[in-house]
Amino acid sequence: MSDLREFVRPDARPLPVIVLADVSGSMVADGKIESLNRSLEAMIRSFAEEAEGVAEIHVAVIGFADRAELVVPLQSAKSVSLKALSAGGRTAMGAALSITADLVENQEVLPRRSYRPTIVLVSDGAPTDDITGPIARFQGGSRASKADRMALAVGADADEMMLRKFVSGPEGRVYRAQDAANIRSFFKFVTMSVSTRTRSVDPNLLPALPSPGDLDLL
Amino acid sequence: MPVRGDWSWIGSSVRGPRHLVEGTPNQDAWRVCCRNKFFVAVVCDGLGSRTHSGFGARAACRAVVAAAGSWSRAHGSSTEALLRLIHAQWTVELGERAREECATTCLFALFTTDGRGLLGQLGDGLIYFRSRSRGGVMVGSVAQGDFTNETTGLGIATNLSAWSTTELPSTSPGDCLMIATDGVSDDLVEDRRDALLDHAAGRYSPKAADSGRVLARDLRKWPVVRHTDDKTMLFAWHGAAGGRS
Repeated sequence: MSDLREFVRPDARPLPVIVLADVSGSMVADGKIESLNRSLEAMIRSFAEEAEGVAEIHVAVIGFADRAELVVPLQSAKSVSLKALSAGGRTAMGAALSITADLVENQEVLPRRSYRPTIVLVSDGAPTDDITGPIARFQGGSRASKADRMALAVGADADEMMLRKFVSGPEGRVYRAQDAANIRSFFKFVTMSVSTRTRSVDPNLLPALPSPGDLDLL
Repeated sequence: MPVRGDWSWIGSSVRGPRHLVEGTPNQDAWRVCCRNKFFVAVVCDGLGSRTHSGFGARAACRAVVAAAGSWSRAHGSSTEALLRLIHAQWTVELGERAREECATTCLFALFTTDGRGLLGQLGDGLIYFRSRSRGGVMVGSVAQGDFTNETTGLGIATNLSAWSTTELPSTSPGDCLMIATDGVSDDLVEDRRDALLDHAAGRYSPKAADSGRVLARDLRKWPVVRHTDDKTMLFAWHGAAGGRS
């Protein structure tokens, strides 16, 4: 063992994945919240089992309804114990984006030795709070603007225009799930994308993966 | 300001696990030059995605030494002039190779006999200077990337504002310096830097003929899970504390 070990952080460099989950009242319909919970659980389990990559995948989950809440603070996927999210209330998406931007810009929480984070936003509606300021932080923030961003619009009532603004940039992608079953497909895609990054020479680069066939790329 | 014969140093650079597996060469480089009018230490990390980055890193080391020689002879010359000289000298060193294919970070510490001291950093990595009288000084964060493996460097930066520089007054015995590439610096515990300098002064003693090999062995046994990068560390002491490699 190196004699330098007492001066070094021994843990692998983190690759953060931050999920913003809409848990407003409309997610109760058509089994959407159940599908979201199952999908999140499967993704985190898959991340925890990822052993080949150069990075260790870390996960944070932010739920938003009447207010936004950091349900799972950023931590190794191996240590996450996710309780099922329950749905009800309005859609405080702006508050969720603010929490996310604060998290990404905070080098105490997300140190510089991290790889570029992936931020995933899932929503079936339109925000009910102010979104302009929080969105601007992802367009102009030093670190937030560099994050890989993906969004899933669930059903016909999702605010696609707003999701497009959130992912703005050459790498941003917005997908549409026609129904609850497609939520799982989206999270499988996120899982594959992140896992591929951890195994690549440079995990900051996004892999060129085909979009899932049962999702519309908007 | 004492320079001649007053500096001792130790440095080492090892290939990271990725390059060992691929059978590709180390893309880091380091160099120290101690002359009548100046002492300069430089560490460079060639960007892994570029074809000639290892060559670019070694060329940058030579360029900094050459620029330091010219700059140290010109009293009153500005920091900006030195940085422009480094860029120009590096371009000359590259010959016909494309600059962007030789991209490299560039970190240096330069002390002249007429009392000028300068730390310069373009791209990620760490320069940490500790003065016995003033405590620790780190170069600013302008040139640092926001995330690991995200950096600027020679061959990328198009403006001198991408450099971070810190001017220092004269040095004195007991002052010491650490420069490292990001393969090392991203994993260092921030509040253990001073303890690391103290540790290095003892472990890599000038009395030990194999101190360079000891540092190389410590770098090869890097105690971080899943690490991949090449690793380079350089320590220098004003006065007898370290050794030579």
